[in-house]
Amino acid sequence: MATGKCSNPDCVAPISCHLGKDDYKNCPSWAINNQSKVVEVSKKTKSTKKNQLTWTGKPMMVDELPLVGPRNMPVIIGVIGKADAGKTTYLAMLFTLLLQGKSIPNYKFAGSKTILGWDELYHTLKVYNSQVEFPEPTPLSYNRLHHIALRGDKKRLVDLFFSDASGEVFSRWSQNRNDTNADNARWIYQNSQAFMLFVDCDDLVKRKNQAKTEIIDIAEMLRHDLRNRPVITLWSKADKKSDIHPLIISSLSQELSEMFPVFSEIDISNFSMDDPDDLVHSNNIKVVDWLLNQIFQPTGQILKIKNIKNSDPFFNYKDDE
Amino acid sequence: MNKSLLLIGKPHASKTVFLSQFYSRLRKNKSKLSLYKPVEDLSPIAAVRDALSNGEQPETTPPERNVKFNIPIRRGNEHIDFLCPEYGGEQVNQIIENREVNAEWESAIKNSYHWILFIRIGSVSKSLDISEVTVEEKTIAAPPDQERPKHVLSEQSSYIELLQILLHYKNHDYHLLNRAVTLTVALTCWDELETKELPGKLLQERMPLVKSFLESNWDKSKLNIVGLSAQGFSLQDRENQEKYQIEGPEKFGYLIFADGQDTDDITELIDIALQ
Repeated sequence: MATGKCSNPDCVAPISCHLGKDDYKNCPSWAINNQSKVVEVSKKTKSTKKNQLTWTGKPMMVDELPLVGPRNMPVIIGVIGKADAGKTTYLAMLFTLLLQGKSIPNYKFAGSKTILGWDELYHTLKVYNSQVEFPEPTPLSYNRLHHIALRGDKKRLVDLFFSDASGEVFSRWSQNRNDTNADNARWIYQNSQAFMLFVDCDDLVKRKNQAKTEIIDIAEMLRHDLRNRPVITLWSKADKKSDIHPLIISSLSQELSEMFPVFSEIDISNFSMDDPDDLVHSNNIKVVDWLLNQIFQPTGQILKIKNIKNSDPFFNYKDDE
Repeated sequence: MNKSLLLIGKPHASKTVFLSQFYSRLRKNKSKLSLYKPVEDLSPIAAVRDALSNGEQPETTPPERNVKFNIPIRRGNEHIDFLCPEYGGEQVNQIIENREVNAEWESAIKNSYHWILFIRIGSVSKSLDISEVTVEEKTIAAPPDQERPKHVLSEQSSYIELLQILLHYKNHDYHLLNRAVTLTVALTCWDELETKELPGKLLQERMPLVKSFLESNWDKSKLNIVGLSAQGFSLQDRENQEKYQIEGPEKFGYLIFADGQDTDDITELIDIALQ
């Protein structure tokens, strides 16, 4: 195994740590490639080492997934679309609405291993002097996951991850599946259980068919080997949807719905015209509701076995939830 | 049998006033709880006790005061160690900020199966965000013309992360609802809220994500949300000051149970927390 290098190829450790650790040797990503060195460190600082938390609170690198992995099979939602389509802003709005008390039907928020990251996104949507900052464009090499744990009706725990990568990588991927700079897009495409595909209404107003073609290109790449994974199209900035030529809306909508076997579409916005405004307060949440319903389809008849007495206590175990 | 109770709260959550009032009640034998041995060091609550018996509004404990305070409680045949590893509360902020707990906190977390979390919900602040305003895009999406405040972890996220850190040291398995640790959330300085709401409802209104986190990780029977006014009322005006001077501080203070019932005996908080 290579040593002296972080497992994150984009990290410049030992110069500095991509997770912002004071000592890069304390970073879990560094530890993956440098096991023996970490043991030395832990001997020296025994008392603080064993106390360390297993998560940083920041958005996760993909190689940190095993930190949550052992407790559950992670469910990854691929957030896909061109640059400036509103992908990261959607995530910011989702957490903002959860903080406001909105909840995903049939689920309760049960925690997050990336709550510092969510909270930073929320910060970009705060209103100061009547103005909102919005998230910065996501850098090209950035590929992180935002985590939310949800408790379902039957007390079942779901670990949900939302990908957060630059829109530019999806545009490159849509032109060339093997583009050397589209690693992040390929990872998301390969590892996600379901997808959000962003359609930027503002772009469709301004660039019309050109914008539409770019969306279709991404959708075509997504369709390849999709294996029934659900796709929901998010018409983002939908407060501008009425300015798009109706022909563009109808043709794009029809083409997308024909491409994906498990498909839905929804209009979302960040700007409320009313209080409450469905596009903002309801639809942003419905997206996750729909995806969860598709991912966890009821499997039909539930087998109930009652009162079977067995000498082996293992067979008598039943969940009392 | 020895049990230990852990009191957790950020600075200015009214922990010292509670401890002072609680101690005074124990000493007067006005409740079913008593001391099983004298408190070794009363100095941490001395200033607050003095102020209260003079009917003065106590000054808040300087958060940097790193003082622990333990009360040895007898309840029937039980001995209970009431631990407050540091009641200034600054260490609680440091746990969240530095993402580690010191040895004393670690041992308190591991040894205690009864936690009391103080949240002064009246001073929980919240910024205005875009989902709360109705506005046209052009008026709000202009590039900010002046520097924006730096990101500070929101109160809700901060309490959730604190609880996640505490649960981590307790080796909590998130697949299961927590039945090992009884958590009593006390919404403190209840009098300043001037509300008739139930404590749980108020937490839902002001900190919905925290409430959801609690409910989805704790078994119902192990989670209590109560209102607590350790002082009873503000001591700013003369009439209230006299009440304290004449009747004694331990006469005042009240607790609102989860169902809205109330009691003047704030030591019942400990009874709830020990369930």
